[in-house]
Parts: sequence; structure tokens; C-alpha cells
Amino acid sequence: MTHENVTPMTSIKAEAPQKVIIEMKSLTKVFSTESIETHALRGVNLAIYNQDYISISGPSGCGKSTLLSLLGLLDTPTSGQYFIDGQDVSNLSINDRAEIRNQHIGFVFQAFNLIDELSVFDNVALPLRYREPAMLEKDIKKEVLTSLEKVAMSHRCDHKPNQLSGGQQQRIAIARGLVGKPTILLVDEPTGNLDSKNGDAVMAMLAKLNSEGMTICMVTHDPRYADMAKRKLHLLDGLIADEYGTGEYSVDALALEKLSAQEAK
Amino acid sequence: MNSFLRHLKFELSLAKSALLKVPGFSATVIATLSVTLGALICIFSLNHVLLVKSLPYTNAEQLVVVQQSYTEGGESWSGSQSAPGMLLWYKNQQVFDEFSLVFDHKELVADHPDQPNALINFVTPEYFSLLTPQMHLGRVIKESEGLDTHQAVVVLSYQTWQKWYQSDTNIIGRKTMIGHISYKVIGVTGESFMAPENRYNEAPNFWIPWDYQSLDITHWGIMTRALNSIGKLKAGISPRQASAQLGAMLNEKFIASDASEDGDTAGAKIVSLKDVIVGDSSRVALLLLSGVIGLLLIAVTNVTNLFLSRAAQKQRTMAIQAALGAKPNQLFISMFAESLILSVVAGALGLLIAGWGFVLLDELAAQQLPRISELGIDNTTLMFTGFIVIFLAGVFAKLSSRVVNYDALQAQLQSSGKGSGLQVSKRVRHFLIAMQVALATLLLAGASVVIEQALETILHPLGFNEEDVFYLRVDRPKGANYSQESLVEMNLLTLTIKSELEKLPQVEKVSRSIRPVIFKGNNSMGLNDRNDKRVGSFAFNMVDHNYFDILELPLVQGKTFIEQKDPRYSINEIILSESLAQELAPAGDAIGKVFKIQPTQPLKVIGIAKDYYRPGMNNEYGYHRYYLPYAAFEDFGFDIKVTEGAQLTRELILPLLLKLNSKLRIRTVISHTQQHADLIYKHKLTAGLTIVLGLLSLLLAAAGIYGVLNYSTQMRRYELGIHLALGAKTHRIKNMVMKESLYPVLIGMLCSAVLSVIIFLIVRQQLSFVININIVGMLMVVPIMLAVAYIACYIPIKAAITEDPIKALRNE
Ligand SMILES: Nc1ncnc2c1ncn2[C@@H]1O[C@H](COP(=O)(O)OP(=O)(O)O)[C@@H](O)[C@H]1O
Ligand SMILES: [Mg+2]
Repeated sequence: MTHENVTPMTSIKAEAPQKVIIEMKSLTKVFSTESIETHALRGVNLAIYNQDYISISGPSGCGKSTLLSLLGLLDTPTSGQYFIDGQDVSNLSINDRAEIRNQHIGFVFQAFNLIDELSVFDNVALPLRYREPAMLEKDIKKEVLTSLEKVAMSHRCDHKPNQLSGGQQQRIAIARGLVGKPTILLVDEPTGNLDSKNGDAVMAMLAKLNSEGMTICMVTHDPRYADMAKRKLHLLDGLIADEYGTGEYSVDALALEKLSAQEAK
Repeated sequence: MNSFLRHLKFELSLAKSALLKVPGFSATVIATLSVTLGALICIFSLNHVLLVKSLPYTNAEQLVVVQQSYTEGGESWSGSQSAPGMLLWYKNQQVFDEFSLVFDHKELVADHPDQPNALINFVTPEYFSLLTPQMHLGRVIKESEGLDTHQAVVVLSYQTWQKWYQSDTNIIGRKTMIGHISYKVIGVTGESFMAPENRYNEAPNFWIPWDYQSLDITHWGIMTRALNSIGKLKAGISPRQASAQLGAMLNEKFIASDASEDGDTAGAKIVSLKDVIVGDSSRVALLLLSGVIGLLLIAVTNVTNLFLSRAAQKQRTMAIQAALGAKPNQLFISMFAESLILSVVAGALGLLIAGWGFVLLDELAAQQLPRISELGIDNTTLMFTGFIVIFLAGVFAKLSSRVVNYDALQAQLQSSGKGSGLQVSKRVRHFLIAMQVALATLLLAGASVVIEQALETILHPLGFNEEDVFYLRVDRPKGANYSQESLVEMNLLTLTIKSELEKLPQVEKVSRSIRPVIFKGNNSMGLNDRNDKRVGSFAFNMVDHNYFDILELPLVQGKTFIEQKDPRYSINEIILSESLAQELAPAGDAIGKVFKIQPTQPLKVIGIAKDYYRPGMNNEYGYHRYYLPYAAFEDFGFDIKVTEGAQLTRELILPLLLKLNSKLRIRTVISHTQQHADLIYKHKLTAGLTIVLGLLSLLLAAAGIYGVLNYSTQMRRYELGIHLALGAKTHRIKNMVMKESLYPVLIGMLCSAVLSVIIFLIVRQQLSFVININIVGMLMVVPIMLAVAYIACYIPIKAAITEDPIKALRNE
């Protein structure tokens, strides 16, 4: 894999490293069916800083995917508050949520979730096509190629996803996540469907993206990969049980409280 | 807007390649929609032309017809006009700017080798200034060729000029022989001129000045529907004022005439020309429209279901799109792109089918429906099609883009279609099935009524022998008038023709008769009792003694007329049909009673003939009929019994007639079986089209039910697989699922039962005549519908439960 062409994302790098970009306060999620209520999340407090690299791990059923889908506005919380760039996004309309997903969130799924009917280029271009007002085709092309170059896949523009290996597909998915210059990249078990060689490559790519300034939040089972993040969150029974900082900065409960107090004013 | 269009363009190109990948889906949608749209467009145009569109004349909305109305002996009717009455109006009216007389009459084109039967409009010059036709050649009938000028000129219709005159461009000034008179051709109307059709929806071939009509213009008691008018009311004169004035004018003269009795009155009725031409065909058109709308609803339900399955297929893709920030309306556009492509293609094919339908209608129903020749793909049709296409595309897209659940995108993204994830809800599925069943049952029930009525007419025994009997009609020679001498002379001529015909080897027996035993329309004449009191107006015929023998129409009482050999006979006997005898003499003592047609001419009842059926008669009064001895008052007619299987042709008979009198012409030679077939043709057509419609709706409904259940069973495969894996017996699962599937079927049938009762109650109030609803026939629909629904339910289930459960569990 070569990275000569990779250009750092200057817009992100320029911001102060300690700026809070995402914040969750006492967020809960209850799934109610006819007979039972499942408390998937029971009051999560979380602040994500600019250029963070967070990994979330925990036993199966502890609420990892639920947390990630709340972070990505794929689902609505039962109670609590959620801020992106200081804007309360916990109670938005469907259209506004779509807008935020489109502008601020990049997704990378375990199962890639590429659209088989579309070429690699069109898959990556998809988030830009939903921009309003509509982008010019030549701007879309420029952004898509830049993004594909970052994952070293620009030579596969015209292929269909099913003509590519799993590792390549996941890189296309990452390119799609990056193309809209999101505030945060959300990654759910990115290596779950890959062999270890391809998994390692994808993780290396994420680390590199983070070093270039991209904020990342990743769910993973694998402790080896979890360790690559700057902050490691451990989720247990719908609550953040503990956090280990591995990077230059970490968050303590005090800082979080201070922040909440600030917000409350 | 610009960015919307750009987005739509992008989505259209995506949709095109996506649809090519699902040819089965695309083809089914296009086939279902195009056939239905074709039928809809066709019937829509028919309704538009009949109900909405103006007649193709300048001032079309102002053109009216004035009809005479009469009350005689307490009975009222209108629409039949007497010639003196019409002339009275023509000469003295002060309510119209322009007023034209129009008399429909058929004559042979004598100098054409085939001597075709042509429809002539005898008109006054105002006809042309009112309708302002474009002329292809020459000119129209001028002012100077008006009433009492006797100018023998003729205007040809464009189609007639093409068909019978080989599009001869030098025709102006040439002469042509129509009937017994030679006319100078003065003009050919433009190709686009569509003349008002007569009451049999026939367009005129020729226009000839009024003076050459053959009406009895002195007799106030002779009325005909063939005599009409067209007028344009003066500004400021309302139809009500006009009818009051014209009515008073007519009444005065009518009461004074010898055709009226004490208490009889005459009046006038102003009707728009459009209403006269369209008549009650609008009812047929509306009936067809409701059938086609039913069909459309079934088709839409089917296609909706197809789109829901398609949306389920695309659901994962749409969830990904939503996760990446696509808004609901952007997903709508993406579905809309697909549904738009499909419905536009279907709409284009539908237009083709409709175009073909117009040709078919023209072929099949030009005689049954007016203004068929005006049908075509015009701006209105195109706009209607465009509207329907976009509307349907929108409906399908809206319904199917709704399957994305924005509140649980994550769940949709993670499910791999193993029976969880999106389903069209059970409520929606049941609703779709119930709707299909209800609509199809309703259509079938309606169809069964229509077919029942048609079959009633088609299969009804005539009650007389139609085999090997021909009817010959010969034009009365020119110059014959209605004087006593002339009548005797004509009687003699008919007797001679009769005996000449009998000499032909293939002819067994001949009876003279002024009318065919059955024909389109009816012809009645008033009958009075011995005190000159009107007892009613009934169908009648004038026949020879052997008429009943030839038609094998038995006399149930009394005897037939005596054979006429001497042409100087007088008419003093009458034979009644069984029903009429029953009506006039309920005590059964009809024989010997005396009736009159004219005060000076008592007629004694000498026999009672069995009733016979005339296809198309719609009440038992159709059986009321009387017979008089033959007299050559009108054109000559003969019922000819031939040897078994023998044929009579024009070529065979004409030389024989010309030998007797060079002025004789044959109007028609037709076998009674052919006549019968012509009369029931319309009903056969109706039955045939209705059967096609019924089968189509049954087929669509079956496909729809199958589609819905196949889809839902597919969605339940995983669940069913688990049941099977755990050891459930297949019949148990079958029963469980069938019970669930048949539930909405029963609901649908119940709905249709309720709806049919409601519709029946509404329709019964609207219609002037009684429809006989055969409950048994309608109930037949129930088992048919049930059987079809059962099969449609069973097939998908069978497929699901006969495979190895592991396949379902692995989602293979
Ligand atoms: N759509 C749902 N409906 C009901 N319960 C759910 C749903 N999604 C998740 N859950 C429940 O919420 C809890 C957390 O699930 P999830 O976030 O998927 O866990 P993880 O990803 O950590 O394995 C589990 O108990 C799961 O059963
Ligand atoms: Mg999970």
C-alpha cells in the first residue's frame, strides 16, 4: 500500500485539539416490544474531542451498536441529550437528521453496505449526491477521486463492488465515509468480515487517517485493534464502565463535569 | 428546481440500469399497466367525445333540433315528426336565425355497378350555413336551390366520392342517378367534415335539395323519426320560449287536421343537436368507464404490490442511502425515477393499444355508438395519458419509498433479509388482497348481469322458422302515386312478381309482406275500436294468406286471410297476435270483434297468430302485433321460402324483375338467418367484450393475490422453516397459513356483496328500464372467485412447505 498521494485534511488539523465536537448527556435507549423492555443504554455520558480516536468494546449485547447508531443519528434516543458542534440534535426532524448525517457523519459498516448496482465511483459519490443545493458534477468528481486516492483505490473507479475483495470493499466504504469531509467517522466492527491481513491494513489506514486529523469512533471486539485507539471505552450493560487513555490526552470525570456545567449555563 | 431536475436526471439513469436488471418485474408492471391504460384511454376518449366534447361545427353549442310531441288518447310521445308540421315551422317560424329541414332516406345508387344502398339527407340550404363544412370540391346547396325550386343537384361526402366515384377530380358537373332521378354533382365535402349521423349512427352519403324527398307532405297523421331539423335560436330567445311558440303554432293546425281527435294535442320540444346525436349512448359509455376503472383499480393494486416487493428488495439499498444522508424526498425521487420510467413506457404502449382500440371500435361498434369516427389520439387524450402516468408513478413511488423506517435504520442495515427487517405490514397485505377480491368480484358480478342480458337476447327462440326463408325488398317504381288506380296497378305488379318468383326452381312459396318479420327498429300504427276510439299503437305488417305457413307461425285460433288473386281487393279483415288479442279481448272472445284503422274501414278479427320474439325488444309490448292483408302502399316486400340450402341473390332475381318493369330495383335480398344474426350482433359483441373484461379482471386479481401471498410467504420462509425443523407436519402449517390468507379473501367478498347491493339500489333509481337481475347467475361468481383465490393462495404456500427446512433456515 502506498500513501504518497495522501494530503492531510487541513481543515480539521487547523482546529484546536481539545475542542469538544460531540457530546452525549445521560443518553438512554429502551427497546420496547409487546412483552419486554430492553434497556440497551442506561445513561451514557460521553464527550468526543476533535481528532479523537475512540474505540468502544464490550461483551455482546452490551449496547455497542446501539451507541454507535445513536452517535450516527441512525436511531433516536429514548431520553438524554446529544450535541454535535454545540447543536442539540436529539430531537430533530427526519430531514434535519438526514442533513446532519450527510454533513457531519461518515459511516463504515462491518458488512461494508456498498450498493451492488452502483460502480465504485458512484458508491463513493452517493453522500455528495444528497447535498443540497446539489453539487456540480465536476466538484463531485474531484472529491470522489481525492477520497479514493486516500484509500489507494482510485484505479478501481469503474468496478462494481462485487468484483472486489473484502478488504478492497472496506477501503471503498472508508472512502465513502470520508468523501463528505465529516466531523466524525463512525466505524462498526470494520474488521469483522475480513481476514487478519486485510484487517490489519484497514486498521493501519484508520490510524493514518486519524494522524492526519480525522476524528474516529470505532466499535470493535478485538482487543488488539482496540488498543490502537487513543481512548478505549469499555461498555458494560448499557453503561460506560471505564476508560483507558492511551494517547496524549484523556478525559476524566472531572473534565466532563466541568464541561456539563459550562453547557448548562 | 434546477437541482431537483439534475437529481432526477441522475436518478433516472440509475433507475434505467436498475430496471434492466429486474426484467421480470419491469415486464410484469409494463404489461399490466399498458393493457389497462390502453383500455382506460380508449374508453376515456369515448366518454370525452360523447359527454364533453362539442360537435365539430362552429357554433356547435348553439345548434338545436326541434321535435314534435303529441298527446293522443292520453298517451304522449315525441321524436316522430309529421311533414306538414315541419313545413309549417319552416315557413312560419320566427325563433331561429336559421332553420333547416333534414330528412333521412335510403336510395340505391342506380348508375353504380353494385347499386349500393346510400343514405341521403334531403335538406334545405340552411343545413350548410349552419354546419359550415369545408368543401373538397365545388360548392354546397345554395339559397337558390331551396324549397320549391326543384333543382336536381347533389353534394357528395368525401368518403362517398372516394368509395363510389373513384375520387374523380372532374366530377363536378357530372350527373349521377340516385333512386330514379339523375342529379348533377355540385360539390364534395372536405375530408374532415363529419356530418351529423342519423339515429342508426350512419353518416349521410349524399345531400339533395329538400324538394326531392318522398314524404307525404299533406298527411298530419304520418309521423317519422327520419324527419328532423337543425336550427340556431335567435339571440334572446330561450329554448322554452321557442318551444312554446312553435308548439302553439303546430297545435293549432294539428287540432284542425283530420288526424286528431278530441283531446289530442301537439307541442314542440327543443333539444340540443348534441343530445339528439348522442342519445342514450352516454349510458353505455359510462358503464364501460366504470368497468374500466374497476379494472384499473385491480391493476393498480397489483402493481402496488409489485412495487412493495421491489421496495423490499431495494430496502437495504435505500437504508444505506438514508444512512448516508438521503432525505425522504430524495428516496422518493429515486423510487419515482423507476416508477416513472415504467409508467411512461406503459403509457406509450397504452396509447398504441388505445389507437388500435379506436380502430376496433370503429369496426365493431360504429353502428352502435355515435361519433365513433371522431375518436383518435388528440391533445386531450395525450394530456389525460400524461396526467395518469405521472399520477400513477407518484402513487407507486410514494407507497414504496415509505417502507424505509427512518427510526431504525441501524436495524435495517444489519438484517440480512432473514425474515426480520422490513415487511409490508400484515394489515397492508390483507387490505391489498381484500381490495383485489372485492373489485374483481364486483366486476364479475356486473359482467354476469351484462352477459346474462346479452345471452337472453342471443339465445331467445324466435318462435318462427328462419331457415331457408329470404326477404326481398323491391323499390316501388317511379311515378307510382297513392291514388286508387295506382294502388291497383301496383297490387297487380306485386302479384305478378310473386308468381314469377314462384316459377324459380329453388323457390317453394312466396308471400308478399310490407316488412321483414324482424328488423332493426319497430314500426307501429294506431288501431281504433269499432267506435273509432283509439286502443293503442302496435307493430303491424301487411301479408298474404300463406305468410304464417311460410314462417311456420301457427294460428292458435281462427283462420288466415283468403288468397288474393284479383288486385282490386278491399281490406276488411285483421289477424292479431296472441298477446294483442289477450290485451284487447281479455275474455278470450277476440275472434269476430271489429277494429278500425280509418273510420270508413271496419276490420273483423278472423284469426289469432302465435307471438314471436324480436331480438332487442325490451318489454312484453313487443309481442303486441297485428296483421292486415297485403296492399302495395309502400315499397314491395316478399318472404320467399326456398328449397333446403338454396340461396337467392340479386343477380338471380334482377333480370326477372326487369323483364316485368324496367324501373324495378332491388333494395335488399337477405336471408332471415342473416337478418337475425345482424340483429343479435351487438349483443354478441357486448357479451364477448364483457367476457374478455371479466376474464382479464379474474386473471389480474389472481395474479395480484398470488403476488401478495407469494411475497408474504417468502418473508415468512424463515419462520415456517423453523416450524418445519421442529417437526410440525406440513398440513398443519398449510392449514394455518391458508386460514390466514383466505381471511382477507372472505372480507373482500363480503365488501363486494355490500357494494353490489348499494350500486344496485343506486342504479335502479337511475335507469328508466328494469334490469332483471338473475341472482343465481351472480352467485355463480362466488365459487369461481373462491376457487381462483384458493389456488392463488395455495401455490406460494405449497412451494414454501415442500422444500427442505434447512434451505429456508440458511436463507438459500
Ligand atoms: N431493534 C431492537 N429491538 C429490540 N432490542 C434490541 C434492538 N437492537 C438491540 N436490541 C437489544 O439491545 C441490546 C444491545 O444491543 P446491541 O447494541 O446490538 O449490542 P452489541 O452491539 O453490543 O452486541 C441487546 O440486548 C439487544 O438485544
Ligand atoms: Mg453489535
